Amino acid sequence: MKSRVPFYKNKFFIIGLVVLLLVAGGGAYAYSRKSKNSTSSNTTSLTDTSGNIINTEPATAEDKASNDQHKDELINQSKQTDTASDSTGKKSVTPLIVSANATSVTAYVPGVFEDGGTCTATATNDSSKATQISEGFKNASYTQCAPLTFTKALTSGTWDIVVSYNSASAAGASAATKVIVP
Amino acid sequence: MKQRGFVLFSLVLAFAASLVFSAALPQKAHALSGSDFKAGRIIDDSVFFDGNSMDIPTIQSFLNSKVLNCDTNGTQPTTRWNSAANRYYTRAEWGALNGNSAPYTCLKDYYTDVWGTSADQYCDAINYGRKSAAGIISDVARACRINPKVLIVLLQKEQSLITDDWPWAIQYSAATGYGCPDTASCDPAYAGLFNQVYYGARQYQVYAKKPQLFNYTGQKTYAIPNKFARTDCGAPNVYVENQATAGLYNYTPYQPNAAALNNLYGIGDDCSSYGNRNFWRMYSDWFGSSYGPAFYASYVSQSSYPIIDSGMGVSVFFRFKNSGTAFWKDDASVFPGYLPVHMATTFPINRWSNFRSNDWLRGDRPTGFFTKVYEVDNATLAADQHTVQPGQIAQFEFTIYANPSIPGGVYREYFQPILEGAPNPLWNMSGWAYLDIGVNVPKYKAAFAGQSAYPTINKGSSAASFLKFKNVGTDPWFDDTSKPTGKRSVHLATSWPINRPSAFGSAWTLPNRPNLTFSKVYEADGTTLAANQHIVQPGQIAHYDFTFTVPANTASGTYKEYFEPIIEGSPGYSWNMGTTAWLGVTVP
Repeated sequence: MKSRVPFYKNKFFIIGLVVLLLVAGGGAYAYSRKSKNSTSSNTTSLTDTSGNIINTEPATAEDKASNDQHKDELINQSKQTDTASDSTGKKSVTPLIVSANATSVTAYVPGVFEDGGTCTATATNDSSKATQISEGFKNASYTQCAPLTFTKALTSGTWDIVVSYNSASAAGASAATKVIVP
Repeated sequence: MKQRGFVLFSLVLAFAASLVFSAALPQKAHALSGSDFKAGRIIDDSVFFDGNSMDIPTIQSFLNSKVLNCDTNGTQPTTRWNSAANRYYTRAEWGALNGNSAPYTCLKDYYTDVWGTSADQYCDAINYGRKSAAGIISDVARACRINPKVLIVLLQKEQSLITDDWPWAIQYSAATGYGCPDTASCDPAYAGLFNQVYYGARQYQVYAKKPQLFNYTGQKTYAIPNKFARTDCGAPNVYVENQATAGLYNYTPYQPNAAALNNLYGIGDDCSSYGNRNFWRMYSDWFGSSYGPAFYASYVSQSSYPIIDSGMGVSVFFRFKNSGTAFWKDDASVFPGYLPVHMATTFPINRWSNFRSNDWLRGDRPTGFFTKVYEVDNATLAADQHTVQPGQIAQFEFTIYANPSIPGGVYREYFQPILEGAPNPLWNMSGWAYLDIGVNVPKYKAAFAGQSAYPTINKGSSAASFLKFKNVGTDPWFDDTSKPTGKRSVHLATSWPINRPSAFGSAWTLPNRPNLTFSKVYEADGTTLAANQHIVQPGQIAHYDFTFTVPANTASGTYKEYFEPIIEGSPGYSWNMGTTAWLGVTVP
C-alpha cells in the first residue's frame, strides 16, 4: 500500500499557500499605504469644474528641497549689487536681439523694467547705414522694445545689426547680429 | 523534518518577498518624462485661457493639501549649522538673519485687503474686499480669463509659494516675478500677492491681444535661447504652435536644454534654464495634461442684441476664435474625410429655433459658412476666407427672423459652433454665446390731422397739396431716411382701393405712393417743428407734401382722391394704420 503524503507536504497545497501569502503580503502593504493616505489628506478626490482629477498629494521631498534651494537663491540675489554703471552713472545693460530680418528687428532689454526709454536699431553694411528707433516699455521682468520696423527695407547683402538702449537710468548696446538679405 | 523546515522557510520567504516587492515599487511614480516636453507646445490655448477651471473652495483644498502643517513660528531646524550654539539654526533664526523674521504665513492661510481694479481691454473689473490667496487666484483667473491652474503653477515656479511651509515676505512681494528684472530689485509698484497675480495674469492677455508688440507669437518659428546671456549655450529653432506657449516664452524667454529635460526633477548643466520646464512639469504633475481638444472655439465678440418688429428679419453675427489645434473648414472648403464647422442652435443642442429664417441650413443650423476669417488681431482679414487656422477668428453671420406668430417679448437664443457629424462629445467645441432678441409687435395707429384746400387744377397743370396724420399708436413712425434695421417705413399710399394707381400721380415716386418720406414732422400742437424731422413719435404729426399733376386729356369734373398712411411691407392686414383721408380735385 502506498503511504499517504501529509497534507502539508502536498505540492499543490504548498504552491497554493505561497500564492495566498504573496497576495496577503501585497494586500497588507496596500492597506497600510491607504490608511496612511486617509489620515494625511482628503479621502475624496479633488476635481476641477470639468471633473478632471487634481493631485492632492502633499509636497514631495523634491518640492521641499526646492523650497530650501529657492530661499538660498533669494539670499544670494539680495546680496548681489546692481551691475556696473557707465561714466554717466547709468546702469549698463545689454539689449538682446530676438529676431532680425530685412524689414524689422525684435529686441528686449534685460535688467531694467521701465517705460519711456529709447531703443535704436542700427543696420550697417560696407556702404550704407539704416537706423530705426522705438520706445521701450515694461514687460513681465524686463523692458521690451516696441517692434523696430525699418522705413525702407534693407537692400540685398549682409548687414550687421546692433540694438542700443538709452533711458534716464540705463544704457547699453547689444552684440551685433548678422542679417543676410537675399 | 528537513523537508517540513524547507516548506516553512519558503513560505516565510515568499511573504517577506511580497512585502519587499510591493515596497520597492516607487511610492509616487513620475509619470512624466523629459522626452514628453514639446518646446513649441508647452500648453494649449484652450487650457491656458480657461479662467473657470477651479472655484475658490477647490483652490483652497488644493493649497491645503500641499502644506499639511505650516511652520508659522519657524520652530523647525534648518540645514544651516549654528556653530556658536552648536546646533542647527531654527527657521525663525535663519529667516531673521536674512531679513525675514517669523511668523510665516503659508499661502493656504494668507488673507489680504484687495483694493480691486477697474475693467480694461485685458481683464474685467475685480471687486475690493478682504480675500484669501485662493480668492485672489480665482478672482484674477476669472477676470483675466487665465486658468487658475496656470496661476498656481506660476506662483510655484517663481517663488515655491504653493509647497513652502515657511514662506518669506519677499516671496509674496515678488510672487509671480512681475516687475522683477534679473539683476535689479523689483518695481515696488507691483509688489504684493494681489498685484503680482493680477499683473502677471493680465500680461498674458496683453501678449494675446497685442502679439505684434512682443518677442514671440503663436504659429511662428524662433531661435529660443537655452540660457540668459549665453550665446555659447545655443538657441534651437522652435515652431511655437500657439499663443499660450508664445506667452510663456515672452514671460520667461528661455527653453530648457536636453540636460534639464533628462533630469526633469533636478538640475541639468551649465547651459540649463528651468522656468518653462518647471512650468510644464508642475502643471502636468498637479493637473494632468496641459493639452486641450483639437477642436475648440472660444468666444470673441458678437453683434448687438437686436430689437425687431414682428415679421422682420435682421442680420446678426458671432465671432469665435480657433483655440484648438486643428484647422476649421466650412461648407465651402471642406474636403472628403474632414468634418466642417457649422453654427448650431444650442441649450439644448439642435434646438429648433423659432427665429429661423429662409437663409438657414435648417431650423437648428443658422449657417454652415464663415462669413469672414480674421487673423489673430481680430482685424486683418486672413488670406484664406474659408479656413480658420489655430489662433484665427471666424465670423458666422446669419439672419434672425421674427415670425409673426411670436408674441412680443425678449427671447434668449443660444448658439455654438460645432464639428458637424462628429460623435458625441467630440462635436462640442465648448464656446457658445447668446442673443437676447427683442420682438416688438408694433401698434401703429394714425388719425387724420389736417389737409390742404381742395385744389382746382387746369388740364395739363399741377398743384401742391398736403395731408397730415397724427401718430396715435405706441410705436414711432420711420420714413425711408430714418428706418433702423428691423423696422418698417411708414409711407403715404393711395387708397380705395389700396394701392390704386392715381391718374394724377405722374410726379410721384410711384403712381400709388405720393411720398415716401415725411415732408415735415410737428409736435402735438401741430405748429412746432419736431427735433427729428424723419421720425414721428407717438403724439407727433406727420406732414406729407405732394403734387397733383392733371394730364391734358383728363375729362372735366371733380375727382375724389383717397389716401392713407401704411406700414410698408407689413404682412396680412397689419399694414393698415386705421385711417383714410381724401382730397377733391376739380378739373375745369
